[in-house]
Amino acid sequence: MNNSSTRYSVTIWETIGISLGALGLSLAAASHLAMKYLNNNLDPIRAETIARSLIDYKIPGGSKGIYGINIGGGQIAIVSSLNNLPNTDNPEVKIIISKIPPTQAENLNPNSFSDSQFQAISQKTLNYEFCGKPTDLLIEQGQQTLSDGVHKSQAAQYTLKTTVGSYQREVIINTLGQDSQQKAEFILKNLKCIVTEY
Amino acid sequence: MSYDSNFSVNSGLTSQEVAERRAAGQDNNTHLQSSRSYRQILSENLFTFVNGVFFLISLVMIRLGRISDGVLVVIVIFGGVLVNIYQEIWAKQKLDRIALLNRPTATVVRDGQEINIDPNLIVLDDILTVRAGDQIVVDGEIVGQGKIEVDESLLTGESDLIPKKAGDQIYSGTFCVSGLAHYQAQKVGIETVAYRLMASARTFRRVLTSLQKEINLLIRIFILLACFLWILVAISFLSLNLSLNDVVQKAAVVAGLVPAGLLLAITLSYGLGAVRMLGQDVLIQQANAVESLSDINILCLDKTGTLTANTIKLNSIYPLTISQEQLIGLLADYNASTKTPNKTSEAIQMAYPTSPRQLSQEIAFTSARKWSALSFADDSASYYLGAPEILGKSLNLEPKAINWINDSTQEGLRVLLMSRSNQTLLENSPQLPLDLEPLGLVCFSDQLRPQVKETLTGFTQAGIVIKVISGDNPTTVAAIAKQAGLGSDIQAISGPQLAELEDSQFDQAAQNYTIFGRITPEQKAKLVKSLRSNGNHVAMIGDGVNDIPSLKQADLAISMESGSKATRSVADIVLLKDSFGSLPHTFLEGQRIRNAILDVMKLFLVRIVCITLLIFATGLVTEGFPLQNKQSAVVTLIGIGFPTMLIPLWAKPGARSNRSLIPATLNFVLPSSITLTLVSLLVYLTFLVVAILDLPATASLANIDHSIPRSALVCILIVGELLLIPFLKPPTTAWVAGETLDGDWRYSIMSAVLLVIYFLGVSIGPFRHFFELSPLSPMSYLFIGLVGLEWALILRAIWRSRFFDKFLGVDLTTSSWH
Repeated sequence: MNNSSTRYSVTIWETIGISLGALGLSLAAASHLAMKYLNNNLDPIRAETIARSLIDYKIPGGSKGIYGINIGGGQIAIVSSLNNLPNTDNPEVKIIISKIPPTQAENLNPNSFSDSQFQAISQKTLNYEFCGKPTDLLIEQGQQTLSDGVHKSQAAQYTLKTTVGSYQREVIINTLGQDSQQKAEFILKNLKCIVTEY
Repeated sequence: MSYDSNFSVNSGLTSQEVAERRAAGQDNNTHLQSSRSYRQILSENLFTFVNGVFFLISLVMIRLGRISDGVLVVIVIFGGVLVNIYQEIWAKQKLDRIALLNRPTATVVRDGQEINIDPNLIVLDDILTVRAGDQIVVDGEIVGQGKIEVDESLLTGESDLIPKKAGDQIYSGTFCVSGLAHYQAQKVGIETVAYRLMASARTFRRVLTSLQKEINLLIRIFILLACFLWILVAISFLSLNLSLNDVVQKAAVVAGLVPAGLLLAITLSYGLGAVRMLGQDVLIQQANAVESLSDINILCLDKTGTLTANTIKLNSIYPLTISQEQLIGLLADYNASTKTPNKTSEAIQMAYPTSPRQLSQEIAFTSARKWSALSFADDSASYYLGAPEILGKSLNLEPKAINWINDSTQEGLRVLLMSRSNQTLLENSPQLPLDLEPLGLVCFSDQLRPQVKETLTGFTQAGIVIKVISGDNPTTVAAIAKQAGLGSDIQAISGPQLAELEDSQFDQAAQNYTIFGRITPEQKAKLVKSLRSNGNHVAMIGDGVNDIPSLKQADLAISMESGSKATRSVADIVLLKDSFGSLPHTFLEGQRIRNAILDVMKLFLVRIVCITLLIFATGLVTEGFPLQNKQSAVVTLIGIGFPTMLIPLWAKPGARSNRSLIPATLNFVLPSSITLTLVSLLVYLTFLVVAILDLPATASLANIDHSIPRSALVCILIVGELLLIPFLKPPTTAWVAGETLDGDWRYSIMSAVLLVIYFLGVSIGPFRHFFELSPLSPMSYLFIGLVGLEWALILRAIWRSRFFDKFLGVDLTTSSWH
């Protein structure tokens, strides 16, 4: 065996070429995965399928999926009403549904998907039964800045949180408009928890 | 037992007496195999530890319903065993045929008549006639007036002829060289010396080469590793609630870590070597013999039958008181006319052929007297031919002639003096006359076997130390060794001198001396043993029965075809037609085999290390096992299996590294296996993430379809392994990194063809289904191909920059574990 390094050294250009090649392939793979991930998450059908696998719900006027994620054993889905608040891009109803294993609780926080433009003016907590378990229902009323960033609308946000089996279940109902509370109440009454595991 | 005088030499036994003795079981009808038995060959090849382990694995797989997996293991392992058995049986049959061709006949006197019979038909007390050139087939005692000279070298190792007369014992396995006599059979069948020696020679003997030992060690280490993983798999069966099928799958993949195919590759290399060697008149009896020859560093030779062809030739003549023409004429007449020819007279006749003259008197040559004489019917003078030191006592030689004799003797040549006397020759009174007149000197040399000089020079140049161990006089042996080109500074020691040494001194002498003369068979064996115990790999070449103990002690036993049957039967290699000149070819073939096995070993090690690391790595980052059993099998088959079948065909001879197996492969295996594992893992994980992302919206991770990630892993492993082949045998300088430039494109072409075969196979449904593979998209194949190329470039840069050497702080290209 020869001492190949003395005869065949690695040039700086070769090093740069190899590095660029490795970088290119890594980027290609990473971007492919990222695109696939985003496409999956933003697929309305997939999002609604995930949502309906967790909760049976009814939204007046129909619903559509906005965002769905199924990773690390945790699932989060966002669905909205088909109808928008008149003259705006904001859906009248938005529901964030999640089922998170305790180990993923820090990484997957459904509250991070809730609307940050909502400003609670009043809030109260009621006893409620969710997924067959007594829990607290947080009712918040207030205002929400619309997507144009200028106008505001009356808004209500109902939050339910409980632990079923080894999963943390959470539902956040966000409604807009003068009748936001009635819409939220309607949705809340029609929520049916789907439990497949304990 | 003494000669029974009731039987006449002239009449021998009667037919009735023969029948009586045969009925009493006093005949020579014994069957002794001339080679290893079929049973021996089968048991040596079948019942090995490694075979047992693999057989068990295949049985477990078949029992668990994975019949194709079980059959796969059986085919791989027992295919190799069958190749070995076939080759060894073939060699056995060849040896049996040789033994049949060389079978002697015996001349017995019965009912007053001489008849030729098969030696098996000899009975006790038979009177046998023995002439020059006859083999003595039973033990007995010379009877009657006849005198013969016997070559007992096959029994004792001494090439000096032993005179035998009435009352002397002669032994089966020896040869009558001159004279004519009768002897009475006193020991027949299993009582004969030849039978006893052959029976004792048949002790089991199988010596593994250092390469085989290291490979066996590696296989056992991998079996231990597999056992460890099997325990983990068994635990996972309980802790993870795996199905029995999953457990069997995992167990089977783990079983695949034991490099069964390596044994097959080695077997094929050995078999191929044996076939190649047959064209060189070399018969391989032990599969590993050719490779073993490349492993040796000391070659021990027996002088009599190995260096010399046991014939002598006339070298030169030196006229003293007559002209050269007269001396030639006289020598020619003398030797053409003698009635008792021997090797010396045959050599003179070969040099100066002529027609015989009528003799009036003749005194035959004997070793004890060391001269012969004759007188012609048409010449009143008597002529004497013999050793100068004997004839010289009766005459005065001039100093110049004495110098010529001394010089010739120093060179290992044999000198005879031709002289004349005017006294009448008396046949019944062999006395030297006082009026001897020196006529001339004749010089003879032992005829070296063809190509002895070239062969020994070749071995010496290859760094192999030659040692000549013989029963002959050390001076004679040293002289012949010089004639054979072993150098003028060789040192000789005799058996009696060795006998006085203590063990440590004996070992030192064995190491330091080149010539060992007057050595007994036991000392010969002790010398070989001593050399081996000092870390040498010793090959012993012998031909006689006296060589058997030393042949059995050697790492490699080589025998001449003309040697005794017993010697051939214990030899690993038999040189057909006594083709000593074939040894260098065998040596090169051994190097070729070793190089091929080393190359194959590197590929196997990369695969095993890679799969093992992948099992642990995927265990850390995922819950699944990286490959199914059949997927692991297809990686082995295409990435390793086919290449290892072709590598032995194309391997070239070349100097081997003195390092042991693992350090010798480290420079190639370490960087390639670690980087290939990493790249394969990344590819597997990339495709695994895609599979996770492709999961139905509501499916859990338990529902991941692993077939695509596993198929991608199979693909990158195969691409990687096939890309390693040009690195192993670089066709151009572009591929030179871990190995030297080979320049042979066949390996790279094979690699490309195998890649095409893999892709074609994957596109064929039944192949894909059998190996549990899924088709990948063209983009996936392109991605894997690009990753493979990128990995090859990275690997080349790692080798060329000697990254691992610098990181580990050792020179992997030269490091040794010792």
